[in-house]
Amino acid sequence: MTDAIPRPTRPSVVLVDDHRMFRTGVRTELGDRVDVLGEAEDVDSAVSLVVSAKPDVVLLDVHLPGGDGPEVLRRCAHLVPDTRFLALSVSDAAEDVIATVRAGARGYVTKSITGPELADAIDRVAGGDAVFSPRLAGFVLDAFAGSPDVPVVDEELDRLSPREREVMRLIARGYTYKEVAKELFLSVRTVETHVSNVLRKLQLSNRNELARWASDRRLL
Amino acid sequence: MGGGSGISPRRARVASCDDAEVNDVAPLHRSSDGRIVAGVAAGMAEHLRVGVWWVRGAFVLLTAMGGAGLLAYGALWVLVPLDPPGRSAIAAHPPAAGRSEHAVVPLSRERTVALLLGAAGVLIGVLLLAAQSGLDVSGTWPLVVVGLGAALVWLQADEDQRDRLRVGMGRVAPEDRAGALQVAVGTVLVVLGLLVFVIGRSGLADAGQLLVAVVVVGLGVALLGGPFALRLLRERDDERRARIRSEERAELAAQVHDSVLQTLALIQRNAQDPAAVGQLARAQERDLRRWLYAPVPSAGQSLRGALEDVVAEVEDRHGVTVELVCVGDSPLDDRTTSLVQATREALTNAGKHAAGSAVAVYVEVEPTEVAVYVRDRGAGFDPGAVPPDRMGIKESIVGRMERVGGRATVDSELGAGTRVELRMERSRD
Repeated sequence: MTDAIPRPTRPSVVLVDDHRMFRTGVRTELGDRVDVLGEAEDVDSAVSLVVSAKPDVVLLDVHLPGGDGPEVLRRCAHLVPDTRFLALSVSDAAEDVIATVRAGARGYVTKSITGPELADAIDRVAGGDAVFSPRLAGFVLDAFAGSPDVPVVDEELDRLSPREREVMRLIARGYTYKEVAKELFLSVRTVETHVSNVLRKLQLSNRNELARWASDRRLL
Repeated sequence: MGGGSGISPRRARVASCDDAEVNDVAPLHRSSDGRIVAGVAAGMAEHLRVGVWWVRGAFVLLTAMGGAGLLAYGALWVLVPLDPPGRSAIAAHPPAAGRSEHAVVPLSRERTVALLLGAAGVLIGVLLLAAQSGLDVSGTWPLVVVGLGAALVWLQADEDQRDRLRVGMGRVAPEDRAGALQVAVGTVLVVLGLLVFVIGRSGLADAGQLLVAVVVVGLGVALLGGPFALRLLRERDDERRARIRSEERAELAAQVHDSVLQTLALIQRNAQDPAAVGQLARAQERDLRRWLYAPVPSAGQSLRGALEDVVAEVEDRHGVTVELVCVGDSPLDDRTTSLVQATREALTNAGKHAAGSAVAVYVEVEPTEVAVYVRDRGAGFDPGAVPPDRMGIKESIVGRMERVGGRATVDSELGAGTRVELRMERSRD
């Protein structure tokens, strides 16, 4: 994701992660590309810090003491409408990722992401776009797999358009937005629109698979 | 047959567990194997090396002769411990399944016989005693009922003790419902017996007042003893919870020790070699991740599992990071195994020529087709000037795919990495 839109100002960021080492590492890797306003290590401190600092972007760990990432989103997202959340986690478990995105995160990246890629992702989220890692794209394709026997309640929300599916496939294959645009003969802006639409479907759809992921699979 | 000779504590202590095996003389204990009421007779029979029914007969006989047998039995029940230390039933019968079959199942059938027997003994003894002292026999009937009820409750309490031992050893949980029923029946018997006794003695009018007094006293006892009993219960729960927690902790500790600590030790030893450290950390991460998030290993059974193994192998051998994204899954057969092998070649290729950069693998299982994309951002090559050694690798990807009716395209550009696409129709089954 080296094709981020240049922004006039550096985005302000709050880091929420329960590992100090990790926060320090992220801070160092991001360098001067972002303006780190503060760090928090559990749900309560995260909520109060986000509400008082009102950053452009919150880098949010999926697993936190005192409740998880989705809990932070539920408690403060409505208080800071201009703040966007980007989930950052080592968890590969689909239900964690989907739950955080459905709670309102604008994207999901794994902790193996490099510093410059993460800075690009933050820029993108700050600009109002969605950020899909290959893994999240894979989950989406899995969840919206077109098996014919799944009843579709809402045609608009429960299905990916062929174009959206193609975009997701390329992202799952490790393509950057720019590479996706080149491959599909689209503009980067159009790719971003497709990704944002997919994010909206992921957050709002009531498809069985999503409901299952968000709740039942946690019990396994 | 009096209780005295048997319960000599010195003798019981002298015969330690090893001696018991060697001399074949069991110290006096109550046996939980093959017992009927509290295991007194069974334990004594084992101790005296006589048939158990002789002992039981003696107890009944003594009971009939003025109630001495009953007294002796009660005293032994209270004084003699259940199963001697070190020679517990568990030690004597190592296979747990065999034991429960052997001891528990016949016990419940025998117990009904035992209760009838015991009740008969109690009745005969008490009635004879009463008749001898010239009392009105009919007035003592309620007391018999009380005794029966108390015996039921006590039996269950004794059982609980044993069950707790069993649960502590990780055995099956006690049959709570049957136990509760036993306690309930016993309680009802005691209460009814006492009521009838009181009414019979003092008439209905006085009984009312007496009943009020009893209820008031009972309430007082409950008020005083309630918190204490509650605390005991809570402590027991806490203890159980602590035990479960410590077991989980032990499992976690074992896992952390076997994997994470070993890896950390290796990393310290290889601190001079960044590549080795990275490889160790990556392998450990994968290991831990699998343990944490995928408790059921699917490797060897499915396409996804096989690909995970291949990815792990390539990461270890070439020190690259491979990100695997799978959509859908399919069973592993000859054709999909070929696909996995072709993927491995492509990954090995990427690992050799794209060292230090990330490799992405995307697998999509569609209703009619399986597709694998391998992509690296390494040096790439010019397809028009393929060196001879690359030909072989390409052959082992393309050729292999074509042999199973699939196809492979390898696309590379100098400085822009390589893309390999493998496609195959799914076998019909």
